[in-house]
Amino acid sequence: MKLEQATSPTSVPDRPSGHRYRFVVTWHAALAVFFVVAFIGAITGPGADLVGPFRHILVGLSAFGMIANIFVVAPLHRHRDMGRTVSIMVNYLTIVVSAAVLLSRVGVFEGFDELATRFEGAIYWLLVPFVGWLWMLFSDRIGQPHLRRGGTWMVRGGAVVFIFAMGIIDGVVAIAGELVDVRSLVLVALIAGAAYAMRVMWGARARNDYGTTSWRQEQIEGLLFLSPNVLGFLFFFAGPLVFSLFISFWDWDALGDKSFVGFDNYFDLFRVDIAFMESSTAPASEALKTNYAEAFRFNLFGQNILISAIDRAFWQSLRNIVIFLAVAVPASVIPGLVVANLLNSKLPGMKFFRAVLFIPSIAGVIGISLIWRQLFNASVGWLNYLLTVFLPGDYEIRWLTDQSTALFAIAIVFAWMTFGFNSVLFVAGLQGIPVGLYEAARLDGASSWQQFRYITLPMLKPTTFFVVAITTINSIQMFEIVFVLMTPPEGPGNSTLTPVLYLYQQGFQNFSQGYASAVSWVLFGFIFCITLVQFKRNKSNGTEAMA
Amino acid sequence: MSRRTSPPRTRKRKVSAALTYAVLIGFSVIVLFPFVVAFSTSLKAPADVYNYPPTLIPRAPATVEVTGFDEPAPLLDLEIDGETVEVALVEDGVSAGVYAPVATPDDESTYLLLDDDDFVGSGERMAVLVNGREREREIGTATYEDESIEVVRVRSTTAARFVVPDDPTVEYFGLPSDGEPVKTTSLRTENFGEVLELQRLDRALTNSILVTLLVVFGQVFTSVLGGYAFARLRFKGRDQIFMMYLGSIMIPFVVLIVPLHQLMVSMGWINGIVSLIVPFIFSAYGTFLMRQFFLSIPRSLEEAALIDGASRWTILWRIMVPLSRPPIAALSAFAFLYAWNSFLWPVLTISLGNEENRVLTLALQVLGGRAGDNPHLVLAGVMIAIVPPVLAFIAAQRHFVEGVAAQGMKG
Repeated sequence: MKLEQATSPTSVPDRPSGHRYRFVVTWHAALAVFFVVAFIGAITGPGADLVGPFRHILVGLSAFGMIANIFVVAPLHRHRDMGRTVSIMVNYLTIVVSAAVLLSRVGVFEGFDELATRFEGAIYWLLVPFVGWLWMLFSDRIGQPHLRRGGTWMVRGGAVVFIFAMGIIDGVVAIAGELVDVRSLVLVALIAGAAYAMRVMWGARARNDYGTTSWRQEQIEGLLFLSPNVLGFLFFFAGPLVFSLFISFWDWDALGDKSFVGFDNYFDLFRVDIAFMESSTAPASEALKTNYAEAFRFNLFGQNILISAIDRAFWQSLRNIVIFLAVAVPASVIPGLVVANLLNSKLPGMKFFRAVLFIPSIAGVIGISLIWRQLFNASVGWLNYLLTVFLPGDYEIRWLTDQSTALFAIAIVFAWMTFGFNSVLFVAGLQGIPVGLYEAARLDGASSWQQFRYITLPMLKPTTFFVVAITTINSIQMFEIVFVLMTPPEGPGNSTLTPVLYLYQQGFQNFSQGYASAVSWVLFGFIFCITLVQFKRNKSNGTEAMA
Repeated sequence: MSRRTSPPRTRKRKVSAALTYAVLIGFSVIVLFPFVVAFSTSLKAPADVYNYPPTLIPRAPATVEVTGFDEPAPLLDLEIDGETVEVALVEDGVSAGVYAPVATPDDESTYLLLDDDDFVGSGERMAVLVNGREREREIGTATYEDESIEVVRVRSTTAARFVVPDDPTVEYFGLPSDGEPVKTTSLRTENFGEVLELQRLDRALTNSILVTLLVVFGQVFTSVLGGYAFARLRFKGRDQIFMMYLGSIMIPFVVLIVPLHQLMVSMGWINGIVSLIVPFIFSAYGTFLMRQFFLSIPRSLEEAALIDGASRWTILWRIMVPLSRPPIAALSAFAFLYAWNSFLWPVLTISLGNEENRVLTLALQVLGGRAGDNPHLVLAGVMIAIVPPVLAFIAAQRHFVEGVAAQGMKG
């Protein structure tokens, strides 16, 4: 990395380096011309064919490059520090973007598939560095640092051998062959020029000549250190997020045709109609408006009420998730709280239990769901067998295929999977309660139950809120368990259709991606409300404790 | 405290400790039981999977080596004169005869199954009912249980020959279904090899390893850089960007799947391994974690190096990172679990039929659907998928649990 030798404030030799700065100035002038051409191309010419967001990105980038390069020339020429800063940034961005485009052009990204094939072939060689790594860990653990060196060499040597075994060398040669192409060579030239210009400007001499303050240097370094993160954040998070909100106002099938529909996606999700029926068994068709389908019907104060909705499935998914929350969240939080109180005792072996109870939350939801599918088996499954053994009667519950038990079965799996994780959160909360409170209570003769009821529970309120919020947020997003456990995933009679599953079906099976985005924002709305409530409660709790 | 001097208190304490352990053991059993079932099923033979009641110990019909026979013979429990004898079924389909005692020729319950060699015909014949019709059959004597009895040969049949394994000269004749197969514990470890061949699960396994390795390294790298910038360097907009990062942790991934999928489509990354790696090497959470830790390292450690002329880059990798093993271990563990167990994203970008680029979770889902009738194989695959995260968790347990607990404290 070039940063290394550059920052040291060595003495500056007298040899004039004006020709280097002249190169940089010329370079930026050339870049400015290049970006003008690119900008025009992006708007009119070949850029118009680009798919997806890339046309907009190209327009934005070339406009930015054009303006920045034009404006950097003058201050650079007059040896202003501002010019140096902007020059470094522009060259850095030029390198990053050109490198990304170049990598994509020569097929490095598709090359990951090839890499996977070679990786499979060479996988056993990976054992060498892995063993070396274990060796290093072991020598650290037993406190013998001089043994560590053997492990270090094994890791390094093993890594080299592994790279050769994968055939990276001929892969690189193959990729280098792809470079011989006019556009690729232009990109290489862009990278090389920008790298050289950046190096000139970065150097200690340039810093001296441009009168760079350490504050400004820190500014550049901060942005450079942050840049991999921020670029990734913009490209893979912020950009898609904005696009998601944008597309939720369109009717879009992901292929091209889109039409603006305003808030209609959201309205369609929520539009319901309430009708009063004469009897509870009357056919719904009498009361339904066109496009509406029966969602629920129930009897309230002697009135037979029929609620119909345009998007019945969405309402069913909401109903399912509400029932699921009502069952699964207490089933996960309460055992978590109980176990945490036990784990918090000072008895030996608690670390072991804590680790055991944590295993379900790390073992992977797909594997766990496949295991539970066996346990739920109606005829030979363990669950029915254990019920038959411990309770009177024969049990042949069709857990997963019966409309009335499917959601309950999912809740069992979810609670089983998450309560250990919650107990670890609770233990952290318990350890924050001052011991003095308990001592004082004991002196006053409070029983264990009283201590729990009047000290632990109130003091644990913030943690409890946090745990309930996290568990609720996780269960609202439930997808994997139903996807693996249920065939079809929505279960008998849509009984395990969850909102995320519905989003998946709308967006990736029906390809109504605008509508699916609206669903995702509605979900986000729910989650955001929970977070907000949690946050507010905590804040008020915090101020109470301060007062 | 008068802990030692007052016996009732001590007893109470002991009772409460015993109760604590009892409840914790109970919960541990609940947690571990499904894994134990999965492990035992993964070692079962296909025939053993659908037995009811289910058993935890994989069992298979036992066989025994009998001197004089090449193949190991199945071991059965045979009831002889009210006693159960363990015998080996050495030969099936031996031609034998059904004989009736001369005294009760038409009572099928008294029929005997005998080797034809044990029968010495007398040449005389008598009438017996065979399938409801009267037939003439030969009378003779036969040795049955060391006694000579007078019998009539009703019809011929095939039978199985059993011997006592320790003494092959002791022979019995009977039908194979007369004996109850003896079962012994038998671990069918071939299941693991078999399932790796199925559905290219081996490729899915190496793909998962590759993706996980790259995501872990990438996340640690970008998070260390970003965390250092947030913790130590002052620049315009730093605090605003940091607030945005914090806010982004709150946004659920499902909001991103539609546009991110679209981005993958337009970049041509769909169905490619790269779609599982590159978008996930940037982590707001990891950056936050590293920043918090870097803030706790005293500045004086760096300042000396800065004065000596070391660059920020050198300081970061030579001074800060070696001090930061706990958060890096925690971050690696989180990234590992996330990458290894992720399902929603791979199911969107990699088509389920793409055997070359599937990761383990996808392959397991396909396997669960296609080999649903072979739970022993599916669960062998599940065990393969579960072992690495559990090992990683055991190795990094302390950092990991502390990381989670810190999350709780923050809330």
